[in-house]
Amino acid sequence: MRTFSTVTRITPATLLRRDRMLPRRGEVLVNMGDRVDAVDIIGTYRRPGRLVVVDAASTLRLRKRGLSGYLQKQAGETVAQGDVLASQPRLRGLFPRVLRSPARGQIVAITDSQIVLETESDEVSVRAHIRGRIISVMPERGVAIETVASLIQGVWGVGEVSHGVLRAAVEVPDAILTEAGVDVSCLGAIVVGGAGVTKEALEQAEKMQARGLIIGGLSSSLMDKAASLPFPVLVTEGIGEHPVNALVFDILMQHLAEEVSLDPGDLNPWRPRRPEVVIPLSTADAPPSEVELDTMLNLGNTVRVVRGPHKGVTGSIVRFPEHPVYYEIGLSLESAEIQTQSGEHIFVPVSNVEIVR
Amino acid sequence: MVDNYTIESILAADCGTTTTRVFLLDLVDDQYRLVAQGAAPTTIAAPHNDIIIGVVQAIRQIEDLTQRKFLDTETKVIRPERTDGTGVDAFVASVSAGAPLRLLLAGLIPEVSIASARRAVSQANALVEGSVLLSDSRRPEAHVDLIRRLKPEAIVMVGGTEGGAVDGLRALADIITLACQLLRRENRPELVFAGNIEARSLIAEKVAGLMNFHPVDNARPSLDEEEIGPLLEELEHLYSDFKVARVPGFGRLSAWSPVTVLPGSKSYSQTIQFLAESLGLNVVGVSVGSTQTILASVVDGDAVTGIGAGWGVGLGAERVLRDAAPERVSRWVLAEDTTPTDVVDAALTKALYPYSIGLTPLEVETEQAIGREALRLTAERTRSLWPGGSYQPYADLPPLWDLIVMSGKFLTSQPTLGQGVMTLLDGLQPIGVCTLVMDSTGVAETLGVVAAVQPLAAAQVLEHDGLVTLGTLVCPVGTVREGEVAMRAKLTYPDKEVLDLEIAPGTVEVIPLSPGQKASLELRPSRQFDIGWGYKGRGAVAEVEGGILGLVIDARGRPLQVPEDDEERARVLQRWRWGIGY
Repeated sequence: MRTFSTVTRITPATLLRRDRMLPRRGEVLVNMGDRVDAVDIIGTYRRPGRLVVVDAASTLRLRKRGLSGYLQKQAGETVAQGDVLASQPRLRGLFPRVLRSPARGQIVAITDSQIVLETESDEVSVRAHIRGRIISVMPERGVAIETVASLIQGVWGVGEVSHGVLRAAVEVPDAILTEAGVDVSCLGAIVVGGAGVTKEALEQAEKMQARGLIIGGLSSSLMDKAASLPFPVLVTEGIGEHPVNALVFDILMQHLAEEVSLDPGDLNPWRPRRPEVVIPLSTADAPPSEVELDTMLNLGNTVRVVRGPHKGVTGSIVRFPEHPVYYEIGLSLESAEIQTQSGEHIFVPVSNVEIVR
Repeated sequence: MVDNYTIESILAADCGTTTTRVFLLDLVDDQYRLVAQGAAPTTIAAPHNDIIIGVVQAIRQIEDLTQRKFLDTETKVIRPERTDGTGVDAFVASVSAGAPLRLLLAGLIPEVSIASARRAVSQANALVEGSVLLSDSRRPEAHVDLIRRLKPEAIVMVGGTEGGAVDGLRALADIITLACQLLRRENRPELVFAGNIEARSLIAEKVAGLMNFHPVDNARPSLDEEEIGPLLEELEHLYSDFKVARVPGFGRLSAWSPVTVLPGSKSYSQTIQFLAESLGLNVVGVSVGSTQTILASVVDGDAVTGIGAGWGVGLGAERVLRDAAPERVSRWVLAEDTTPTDVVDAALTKALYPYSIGLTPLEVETEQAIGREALRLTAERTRSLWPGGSYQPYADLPPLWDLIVMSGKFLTSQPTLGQGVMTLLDGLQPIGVCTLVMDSTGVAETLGVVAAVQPLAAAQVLEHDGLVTLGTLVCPVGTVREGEVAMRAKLTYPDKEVLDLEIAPGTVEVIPLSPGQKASLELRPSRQFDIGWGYKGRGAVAEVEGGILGLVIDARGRPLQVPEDDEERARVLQRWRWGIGY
């Protein structure tokens, strides 16, 4: 009986659709059918401003709670510093008690005693980051972009989505990227590293204003450093030292000097979005679409090994042994026999392989 | 509502975060037995987004094994069982897949009402992501901003003793209502209020139309009284309604079952309670999963289920590393040429591939280290809920259990039995003399929900197929002094053969005692060790039960001391491993 497996997309060409959403409601600046380049701005939004809570009930010295009878402005209204937010008329010729806005901003909430202002903030532009065609517009929210591209999914990422020209800083997938490898050619580029990276290489990449880094593995000791960089880092295999697998490295090497998009994904363990590299293609041929994926492990599947002594190896399933296979560590496990790209035959537990498509 | 026919055959599904298991229980010679089981990856994430797919896959495996048919052409479970043997009389399920409830605590004083709320939360499948305390010096803006940023799924508001002032709660409610106005309707949290009852109507009025309000009895009615039961019950309801019931495909799963689909922890704790009741013993069930660790304990009839939500050996590994500190995890790993960073790397890589199985010494030892720390963290957090008194002679150690049930695939499927048991001993640090059993098939975790449709099936399967006896544990409390004798023991086998033992302190020893064999064990601890009486040096005679492992004497003392020095630690850990037969 076969079982399900995880699918990792490592494909030289596919038709894909990616949503590019504004982090907050804002203004979408492109239209359905528009062609966009990675650098094009698809929309803008305002960052959350600073909150200011005004204790209106105390200022107006209200004995009973409830502001509605005293408000001069309502939730949603924009106010300038000094504008009257609320006032309490007083008898016998006394001046009314007045509550003035302490800052310029928008009234975002009112309770029976307090008013909350959100101060004005910067407008932020959101770029397409992928070359393609707008196939859907969600007003105030974002767009969907369709493109024909090479697609490589990673397993870990950090930073913000980015784009740039692809440069290789290593020649082989199991090399460690050092400071010396990050030269002037990495200026403004998405850099391909190898099995790992040194701290000095990360710092050098920052100096070179790299736009992104793709590596097989990243040491846990450098995760905080990676998170502090101004560019995204994408890991294709795992935490620690892991050579970039051969399928990924081949695709990347075929597209050097081309523009790529790097999305570090979302690492929320409960709602993960996998990190990915998208390389838009100029081909006119119709490549296969992204389809509902069959994730059942079958003979002939191209797979990669994700843990154990053969970690990182790719190959095809040639047999499912009838009985569990015994492993040196002392476990007998349902397994697959894999013919590796180098022609070797290995046994790997079915739990430790992922389908590659 | 249970269907109105005799339930003889049952399919019971247990949908975990990474693995879904289905068990077929049926009558064999007038006894309910576990007939077959299937397992498949859980399919709640993309691209499947439907829990049913994994359940169906596991049922198909049982169909292959039994040559019986349980699913119709529309892949629905055929119910009831037909005369030709197709279908089953009932389908039941428990679900522990999916995320815990994300909470924010709001209260007045951290040491009082907030502490009570935390004790309730430690028994719920919930994570506290932040707290708003009126007593701290932050401005209201900071509190509002925190709520806006965290977007908790529920806010637990506590504070105020009965009859006390309500001003503080009013101010707290102002902050919460302000923050909620800034959140989109779909992101607004549920508000559970477990504070001064006199403030209830005032808060209900404030939040009306803004958030759903769930008032429960005051968790801290007075400074020296704590009533966390109603709060815990409400949190369990919220978890069931907002997390379990929203797992993709839950509706169909629920429609198949004549009884409520239970959270996995609830089903498991019901099994343990049933076991404790039927045997009249103090029992603890221990399960370490991918994203949660459960300690379901019953002592003197009182059930306490500590849930280490988010602490597990798969997706939960990262949280264990963070909460336990990486060096506490890496100290357990002896694999050659390994640095602490390698251990952290291995743990985080496991979290990226939670379904994968460790095959190298580093991978296997790292998972075990994470498991130990997940257990330690959960035990530490649950400690204040355990009964105290004569059943818990040492406040910083667990109570005296008579029976430990080792459950979950992680603990029961280690390369050797000794490795699973050692992980449990190191993490939980049980004390006294107790029997150790193993839920080798994993069926025990579903029997709580099986009992809802057929209690006899749960009882008989638990008796015949659920638990395998590993042996007896002897775990004295005390401090190790090199060169002395920790205790002397005399084991009298049924054939009257006598084995005299001198147990060195700081050692773990396994004495052969076969399954089914019972022997008399006379223990004479030294003046540094207590075997569970609450007094050091006091001896006892106990009848002990054999098992696959035998009699395990853990004379390392309690609390367990792991040497700080790297070389010394490696030597000591290796000695312990040899002792249990790694």
